[in-house]
Amino acid sequence: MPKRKTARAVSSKRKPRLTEEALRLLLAEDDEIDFSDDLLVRKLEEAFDGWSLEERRRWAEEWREEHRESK
Amino acid sequence: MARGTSGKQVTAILAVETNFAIGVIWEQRPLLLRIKRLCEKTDTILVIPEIALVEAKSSLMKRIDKQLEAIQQFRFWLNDIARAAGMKEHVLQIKHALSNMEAELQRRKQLILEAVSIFAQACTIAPLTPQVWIKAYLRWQAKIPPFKELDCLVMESLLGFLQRRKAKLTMFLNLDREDFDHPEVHGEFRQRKTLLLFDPSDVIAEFRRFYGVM
Repeated sequence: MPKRKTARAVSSKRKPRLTEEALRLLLAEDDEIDFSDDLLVRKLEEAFDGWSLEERRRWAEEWREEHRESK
Repeated sequence: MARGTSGKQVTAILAVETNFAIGVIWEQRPLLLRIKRLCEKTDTILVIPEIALVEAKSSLMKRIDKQLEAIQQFRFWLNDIARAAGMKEHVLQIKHALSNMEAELQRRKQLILEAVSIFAQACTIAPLTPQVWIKAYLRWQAKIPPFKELDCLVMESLLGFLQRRKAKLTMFLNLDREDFDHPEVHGEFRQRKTLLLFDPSDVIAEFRRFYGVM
C-alpha cells in the first residue's frame, strides 16, 4: 500500500498569503499609489526641495554616462 | 542599521544594484518605489551589495561637492574683483549670499545622507568581504562578463550572498542590461536559482505569478 503524503509536503506547495496592501500594490497602477506616508519619500522631498525632478534625472543620466565610459 | 545577512528563511529575495538606489533616491521613480514597498509588505528581503550602496552615495555626494567647489572658486574671483575694482562692499554682500547657499547645500547634503541611510535600513546588505574582492578582481582580470571592475564587485557580492541565503523566489533586478546581459552572467545566476530581470515591470509580473495574482 502506498504511503500517504505528509502534511508538510502538502503545505510547502501552498501559495504564500498576501496582505490587503500587498495585493493592492501588485494590482494598482504606479500613479494610483500614494507614497506621501513613506518616510524615505518624505525625507527625499525635504532634501530635494527646490531641485526639480528633471534636474535630478539629468544628473542621474550623467552618472549613467560616466558608468558607461568606466572600465 | 541595515538588515543583517542571517536569519529565518524568507519567502522571496530581490537583489538590486546601484541603478535601483539611484532610481529610488535620486529620481524617485514610482515603479521602483512601488517595488521597494512591495518588498516591505511581503516577506521579501531587498538585497543590495555594499559596493552598490557606496557607489550610489558617493555619486550623490559628488554632485553636491561640485556645487560647493564652484562656490569656493567664485569666492576667489570675488577677492580679485574686490582688490582690483575697489568694490569691497558689493563683494561682501555677494559673499554673504554665497555663505547662505553653502549652508543650504551642507544642510541638503546631510538630508541626503539621512535619506541614503533610510534606504539602507530597508535593505539587506551583501557585504564586500576580502573573498568577494579577490573573486571580483580575478573575474575582472580574466575579462569575464560583466567586465567592468565595479560590476564584477556587484556580481561577486551577490553570488556570495545567494550561496548562503535561499528563498522560494529569488530575483535580481538589474537596470544595466548593457553590461550584464551575457550568457555567462545568466548562467551563474541560474546556478543560484535566481531570475535575472532587466525590466522593473517583470519583477511585478514575477511577484504576481508567484502569488497567483493575475
